Amino acid sequence: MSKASFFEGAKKSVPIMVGYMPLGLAFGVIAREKGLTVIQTALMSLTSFTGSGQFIAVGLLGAGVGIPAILLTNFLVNLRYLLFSASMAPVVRKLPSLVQAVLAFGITDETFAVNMAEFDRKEADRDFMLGVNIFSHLSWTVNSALGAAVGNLIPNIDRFGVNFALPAMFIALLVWQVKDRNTLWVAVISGLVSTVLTMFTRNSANIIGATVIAATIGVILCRNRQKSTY
Amino acid sequence: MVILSKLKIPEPVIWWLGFVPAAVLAAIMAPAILMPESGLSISFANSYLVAAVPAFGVAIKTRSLVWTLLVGMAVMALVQV
Repeated sequence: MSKASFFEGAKKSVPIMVGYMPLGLAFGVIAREKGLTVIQTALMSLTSFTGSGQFIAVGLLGAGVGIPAILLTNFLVNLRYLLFSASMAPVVRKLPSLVQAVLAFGITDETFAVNMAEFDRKEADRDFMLGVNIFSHLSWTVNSALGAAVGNLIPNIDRFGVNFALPAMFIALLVWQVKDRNTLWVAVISGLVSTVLTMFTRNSANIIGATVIAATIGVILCRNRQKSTY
Repeated sequence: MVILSKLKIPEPVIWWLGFVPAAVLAAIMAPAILMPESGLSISFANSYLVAAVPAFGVAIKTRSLVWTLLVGMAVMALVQV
């Protein structure tokens, strides 16, 4: 265990921790409204670590929907993580299966983005990734519990610009990712497709749809460029 | 992920997977900025879009996550007052 990389990962997770603050608090408040206790809210955040999935789950629980329907909805909403882990798989190839499973559990949109920015086409550092995942998860769990316990007493922290922490992080990470013209095209296409899809869907299908379309166009661009050099 | 990492993957698939992070980031970010509420909003009334423009500028210029965050959040805080 390398403490240095673990805390390097923890440091890189600070924007995520800040961004999860308003989200976690909001989730806690809503979970409490829908009848969960503080402990239940914290346990749910600890064991599932899925923002949108948990909002949906407590919403459906509150509406009296059964567990199988909640599981199915969550499976669909979180289907994008199949894609995320497929893209992360080559990077973690050399790590033991158990470690991979633990790291896979910690994948969210945000931890995936930070980890992939660090290990783009390189071998992953286990301790760095654990640092990112554990501290992000900690922020999510603590803030969910806090929201459930005293959420109604906390003033709206959005006016400090906290609601822009995650979009700003995604902007910086995206700018880092765009290293060549093909990637730029992929990003632009993906953003546009995702925005158009969002007008028609209310779940996260837009992310999978846009990513699949844009990455495929990227491969076609690569192919054409390769041919033209021969 | 445990199973996927053990498979041998052909080259175009590797390229494809290599584009996934950029595509995912753009796919999450674009609707968050262009349509923070339900509909598309390209105007000065959209505080997310107003904050995103300088954030992009700072990100491209400095390549620094910290500065991007600080400028983005500061603009957001000012716009929301």
